[in-house]
Amino acid sequence: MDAAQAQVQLKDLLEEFRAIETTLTSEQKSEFLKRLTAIMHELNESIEATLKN
Amino acid sequence: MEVIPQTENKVESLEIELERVQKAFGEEARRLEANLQAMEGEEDPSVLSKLSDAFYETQARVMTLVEDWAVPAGVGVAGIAAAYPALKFFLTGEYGGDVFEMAFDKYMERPIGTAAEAINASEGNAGKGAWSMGASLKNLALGGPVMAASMALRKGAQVVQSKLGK
Repeated sequence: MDAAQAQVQLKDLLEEFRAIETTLTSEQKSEFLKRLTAIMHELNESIEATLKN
Repeated sequence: MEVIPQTENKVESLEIELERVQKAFGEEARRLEANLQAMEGEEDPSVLSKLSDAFYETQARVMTLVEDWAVPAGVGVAGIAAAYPALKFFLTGEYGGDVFEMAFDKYMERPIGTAAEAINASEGNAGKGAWSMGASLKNLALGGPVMAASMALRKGAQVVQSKLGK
């Protein structure tokens, strides 16, 4: 896959995300982001603990 | 005194809450970027192996989250069908090349809340064709963070795997 093809493919994928988002309320978006943030927080904690030891 | 309808108040508070959560995500994203840089200096195979496990476990959790979230949100099977391949695409690294790396760099160098600004700025750089896709990213409350998280996870896994010689 070259850069131009990849760019087109990525744009299509983002359009799919956009279509899904239009079906969600702010409350649902917040809830999803909270969960995603919590997962990222745990990963950060894990990385920092591992690097310290 | 102006009386604000309760429904308007609720909508406004939900919008404020969403902004707060987006900011929190941005903070974790920047923290992860710093951690990825710290990992670059790590050479101990046992530590790298633990980091590798953490990244792959997190990737699985993010994918599960997308599945869990799509159904209760009423997105349904069609929504999962749309979101899942896109996420898998990023997580598994099927989307290779410098375009991916540029996207990662642009996302992580600024708070996620101002991702649209970064996109606007980079659109002015004709040499970075990847960001002609900027119009698609603007106003994405979820797609942006999911992609930023996915890209960070992939980058982390790549850093560890290359050090482990895999």
